[in-house]
Amino acid sequence: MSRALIRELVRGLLKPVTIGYPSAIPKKYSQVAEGLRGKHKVREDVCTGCGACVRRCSTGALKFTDHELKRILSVSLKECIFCYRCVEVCPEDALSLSTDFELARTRDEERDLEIEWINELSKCLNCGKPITTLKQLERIRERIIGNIAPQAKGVIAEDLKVFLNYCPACRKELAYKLGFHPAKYYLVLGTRNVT
Amino acid sequence: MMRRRAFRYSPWIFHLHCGGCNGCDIELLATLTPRYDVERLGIKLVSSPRHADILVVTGPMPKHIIPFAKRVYEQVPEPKVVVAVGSCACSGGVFAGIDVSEKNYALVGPIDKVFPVDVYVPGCPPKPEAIIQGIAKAIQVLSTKAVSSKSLRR
Repeated sequence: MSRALIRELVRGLLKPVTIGYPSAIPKKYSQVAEGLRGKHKVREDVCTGCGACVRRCSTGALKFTDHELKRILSVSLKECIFCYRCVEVCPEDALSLSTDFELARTRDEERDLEIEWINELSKCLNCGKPITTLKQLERIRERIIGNIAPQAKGVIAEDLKVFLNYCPACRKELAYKLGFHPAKYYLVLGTRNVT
Repeated sequence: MMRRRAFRYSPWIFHLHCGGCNGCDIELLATLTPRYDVERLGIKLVSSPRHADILVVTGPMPKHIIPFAKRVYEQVPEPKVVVAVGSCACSGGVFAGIDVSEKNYALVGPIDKVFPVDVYVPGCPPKPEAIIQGIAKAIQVLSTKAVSSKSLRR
């Protein structure tokens, strides 16, 4: 018997290798890496309901449905493959994956495998159809005002109060009515005919 | 009374592989190694479905496997429990997309379109500890079925 063999035998018999998962003292035996991708965790006050994660989802596990004036976003853990793309793309960092990997459920407990959260939608003043969520419009307003020169801020803020309450189609009509749609420049310079 | 103990303390498993990438099969195999050691719970992997109590299914079901999978399901004697391991078995997984069984030419998708499933273990692939948790839940479901099932009444 070689020394290496004896050494391995002794080492193997001294300490058990098994991670006694359901019943062991967690700190001693179970090993959960820090970056483990498990159940989703949403910060509902930060999420704007923009739908970037829904567009990016690899399998279609993230969905949203617009019902009356509410947008219901949901993650179906059965379809999720835990690829992390939704977390990477969220502009507000509202979504994250915790290290909770204990996701087995019986048929009676299936509801735990759907995570849902709700955002409020805003309505167009002209046609009455929903535009996007209230929080998303707030973020748009913040970003626009944060990026303009200070002398224009007051005027733009007043304009935004009107324009952010119209859906894109009605905004075009409004621009024609008020006379600042870019088409008028084409008409003046004679480079384009508007029918 | 002895029968109830038998179902709770030594459930036998048959692993049915329904066409997948083998990720979930490898993690299931890892639970049988000494590191995660599911055999200390009394679980044995058997080679025939006629000897099994728990049917562990992995993979999205391809359409040409349906008659064989149904035959295996019927060969498992009552009381039985089906565990769907992995996101492909729960719902079509990576292939879920828009709607698996209508747009995909080869797959049915979730296992519960072919036979009823009792426990779902999502993950891609699920950690071996998560599979052990799923099998522990299956044992609980099995022991309640064993108590109430007609096959145990004379």
